[in-house]
Amino acid sequence: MNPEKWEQMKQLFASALDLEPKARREFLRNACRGNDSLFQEVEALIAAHESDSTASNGQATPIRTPITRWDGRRIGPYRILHRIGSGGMGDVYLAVRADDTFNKRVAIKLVQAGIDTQEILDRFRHERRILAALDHPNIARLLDGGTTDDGLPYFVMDFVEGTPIDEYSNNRRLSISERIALFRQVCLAVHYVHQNLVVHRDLKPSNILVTADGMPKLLDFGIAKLLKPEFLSHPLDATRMEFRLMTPWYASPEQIRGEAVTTASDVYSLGVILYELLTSRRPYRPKTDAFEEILRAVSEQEPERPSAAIGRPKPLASGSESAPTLSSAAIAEQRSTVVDKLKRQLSGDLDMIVMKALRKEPQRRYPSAEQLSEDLRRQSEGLPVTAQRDSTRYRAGKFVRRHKAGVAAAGLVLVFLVAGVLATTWQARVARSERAEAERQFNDVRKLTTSFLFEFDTAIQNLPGSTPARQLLVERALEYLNKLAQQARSDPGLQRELAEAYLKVGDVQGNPYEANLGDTQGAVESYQKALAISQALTRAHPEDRISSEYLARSYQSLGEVLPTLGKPTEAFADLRQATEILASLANARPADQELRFRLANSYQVLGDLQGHSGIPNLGDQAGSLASYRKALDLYRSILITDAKNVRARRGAAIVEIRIGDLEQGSDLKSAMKHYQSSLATFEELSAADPNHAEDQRRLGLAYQKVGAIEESLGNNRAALENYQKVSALTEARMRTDPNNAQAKMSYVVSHRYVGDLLYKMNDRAGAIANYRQSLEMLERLSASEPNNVLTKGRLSEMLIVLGQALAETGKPTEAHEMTSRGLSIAKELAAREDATPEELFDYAQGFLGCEPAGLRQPQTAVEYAKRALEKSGGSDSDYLDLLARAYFEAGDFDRAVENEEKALHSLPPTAASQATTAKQRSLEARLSKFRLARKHN
Amino acid sequence: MSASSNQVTELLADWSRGDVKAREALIPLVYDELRRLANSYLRQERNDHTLQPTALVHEAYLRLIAQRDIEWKDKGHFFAITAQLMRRILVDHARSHLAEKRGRGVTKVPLDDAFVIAREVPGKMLVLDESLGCLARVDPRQAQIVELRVFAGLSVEEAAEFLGISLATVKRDWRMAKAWLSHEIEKSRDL
Repeated sequence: MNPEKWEQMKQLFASALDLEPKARREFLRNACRGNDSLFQEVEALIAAHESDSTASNGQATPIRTPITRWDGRRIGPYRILHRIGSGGMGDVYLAVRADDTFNKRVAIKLVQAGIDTQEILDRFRHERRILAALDHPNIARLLDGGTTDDGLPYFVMDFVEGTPIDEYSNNRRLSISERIALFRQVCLAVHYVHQNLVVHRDLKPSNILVTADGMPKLLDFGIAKLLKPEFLSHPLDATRMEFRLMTPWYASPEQIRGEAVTTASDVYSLGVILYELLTSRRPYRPKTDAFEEILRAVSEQEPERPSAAIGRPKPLASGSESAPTLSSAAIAEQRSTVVDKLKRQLSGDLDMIVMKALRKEPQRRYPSAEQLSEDLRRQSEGLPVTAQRDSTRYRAGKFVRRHKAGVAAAGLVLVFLVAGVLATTWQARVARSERAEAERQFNDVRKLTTSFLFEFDTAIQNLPGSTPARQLLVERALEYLNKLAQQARSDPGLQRELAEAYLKVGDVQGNPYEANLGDTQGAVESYQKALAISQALTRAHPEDRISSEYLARSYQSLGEVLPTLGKPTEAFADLRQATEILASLANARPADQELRFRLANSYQVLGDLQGHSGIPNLGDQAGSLASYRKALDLYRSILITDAKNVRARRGAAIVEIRIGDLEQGSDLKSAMKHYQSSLATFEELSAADPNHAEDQRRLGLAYQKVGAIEESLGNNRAALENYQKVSALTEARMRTDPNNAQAKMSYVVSHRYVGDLLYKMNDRAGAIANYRQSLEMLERLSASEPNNVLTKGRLSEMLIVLGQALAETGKPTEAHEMTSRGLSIAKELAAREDATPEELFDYAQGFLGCEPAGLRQPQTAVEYAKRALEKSGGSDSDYLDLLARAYFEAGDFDRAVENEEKALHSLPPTAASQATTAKQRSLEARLSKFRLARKHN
Repeated sequence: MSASSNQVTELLADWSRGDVKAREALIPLVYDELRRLANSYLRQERNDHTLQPTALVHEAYLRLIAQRDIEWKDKGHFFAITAQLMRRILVDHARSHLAEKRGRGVTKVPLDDAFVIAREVPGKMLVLDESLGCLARVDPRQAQIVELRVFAGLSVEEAAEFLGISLATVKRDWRMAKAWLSHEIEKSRDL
């Protein structure tokens, strides 16, 4: 690609996009006459653009063609008359049943290309009965569905001749009470559908038509669900895709977050529609009309009260579809009234009702559309409504959310200022000896502060991007608690809250098990403050259990975070303290199950630190084993009284795998016992809850561990059975979750395991069969993901392994074919500049030892080994040994000896463990072989 | 944190006044912060955490600039730099993610491993990065727009303001760059 050509493409692309979609190709063909490659490239861009036609910023340019290719055509039993509308998913046409003497008119929604037709149709068949059964005067029925001759899905609905509800109300200058009466009919229709377990998901004015005689009709029920974004064939830009079907203004915050959509989401959309019917304004004011900004506004902004929105001086940023931009006077006129009167009508109950429907949290909205309607009725009859003014907590919550958007940290500060004023008042009142009143105030303040800390932090901690907000929140709360603590040093309850606060701040700052700010040092400081407070508390109240629990928690938190600062010894001391305290607490309260769980957890963390191979540890395997055993005993003691306790069973099974891992080197039998017991547990847990993916994974792990021990004991049969179980398990996982890439990869690996073992057992045919299964899956994986270097590498390796097995069973032709393909993939991968030393090692091995031997290329192996050595720093014994072997095969015995000597020297000096001596021995054996060869040449 | 916050703000102001050295001084400050944040996300033991680059950039901004008012121009510079760094971090991560999972030797791959690998993302990220590199060679402005939009989460309006070009141009460029990149990524899938 050169800049000149690019410039040309750019201009053609821009000019083509200015045209109607159907005119684009022809224009392009003319413009590129004689230059096929240019045509093809720009055409591809246009196709990419069209299939992603939300275009930038959601300002989709709806495809508007006055006459379509569908006009007059037949779809199924229907004949298309003309197009009557278009939407995100496609166009809507007016049609008649061709074989119908009554000429019944229907609306046909044609789904545009680029959508997984099969999925939609399957789903349609599934839902059709439910949808067809919906029979309500205010609902347009879904009549039929199918695919056109060229494979586009379509849906047939009752044809409704009407005007969108907002337009209808404005055109007829309906008063507020008339609008409410109309809207209530809509609510009741929605409620009817909800009772039939169908959610609309895409309610908006254009889906609610009002007929000439004033009857509202809801369209498209169930359609949005049929056209779920998962079925879009385009995997790109998934988040945007979620909403390309939806008008963002009416989508609920949970829809935007991609969470479960329930009837409450429809209630929310109804709230937006009501808002606009009352005010002709949008509830939110995004900074710009960019798609993302609207989404952000919907999820983060609080809606303005309708009565206030009327007076909003400047209209909203204009959206693409009929954005309300009228003046207040015009809006009032449309409602057959004047501005002041309109404001009065809306303020109070109607404001409250709308705001309740628009709450961000689904559970705080009206529980049903019917209840929204009912509140509107009560309002119109002057009865008290159920929508209450926002509670203090709710309003405080809004500050937190605003802060999350990074726009009004001041909001939060304000609340604390209010709290501060209250406290000052307290001091003033104390001076005036109004003690009782003052204490009540003080407690209010304290409650406010701690509720901030505990309730809001919990509420926001799982929101993405909320970490800085959490920190600010917690810090401010802490500041305030500090002040309170000084005023009431003797109050142990307050001191405990302070300890809790410091522990929380520490978690936010740097607890490795939570979303944190990466400030480990800060975390340690906060934990130490919590520790100091808890220590003082336990000194003053040695019998107080809760203070002791805080003390233990402080120690454990320190013990968890210190290893990441390179202080495992301090961490160890702290964890020991934590376990001791918890142990004595648990002793004193043997019935307290939660305490025992926490103690077990403490022991497990301690055991990990002492000797779990996965993390930086103290290398004290005996100590680690002892701690794990204590954890195991605790879980077992819980199981004695509560045999079915899943948490305890899972905890025990996890610890047993760890114990098995530690014992494997010394006591194979005991390791086996633990693995088997773990296996049995995970088998039962997975059987009870087949959807628990983690347990399924652990079950596979346990089979594999048991199999590996059997194999090392020489019990090949038993090992085989276990490995085959792993295969069966992954196959089951693939059946239930066909898109699970991890399951596919474990399928690959488990068949490889089975194959290797069969090979060892001299069952070449069985080995080859398993290798082939593994290979087949690898081929599929790498075809679907050609850029995945890892999969490709495994594919190459598998081909070479299979080639070897085939060569040995007397199938030279196929062996040759497999191996040479494997080698050529290896070559391609090795050509990448960023190939890692480990990869190069693998490729070199292939070129050194493959079968048929005629395909070996020692010289290539030398080259790869050199590169691997260089990349790894030049002194890694594994790579030196590899290089030596490659030189040997290439016939350069001097260099072979030289490098093997270096490899021996580079071995770690203290070769104490068995593995290293074994390695040393094999290097020495090789060295003498090479020396011998050198001597004889 | 407050010291570096002042420092960052001053450096940004210097840079937007044309001091190129300030930019060089800024990179390590922003990079460290960003990488620390990114790592703490990528290291999450729980796998329900997905990395959202723009959310991270936002957090980095809050951390480094704190709450102080800052001119849009400086802010734009911050996001421009962050976008580049974010891209680098994500690409590095994708690379190492692909590389580290490879076992050594032609022997067995441990079974535990198989449950962890085969995430789709790293491959795609690398294709995006590569294609973006190609794009930068023929049309640097388009590439920069993509970088600002994708890795720093700037809106088209913001990108236009930062680049000092018209909104229409940014929209046009973005439209084409997006089509081209989608096509490239699609192509790599079809291979």
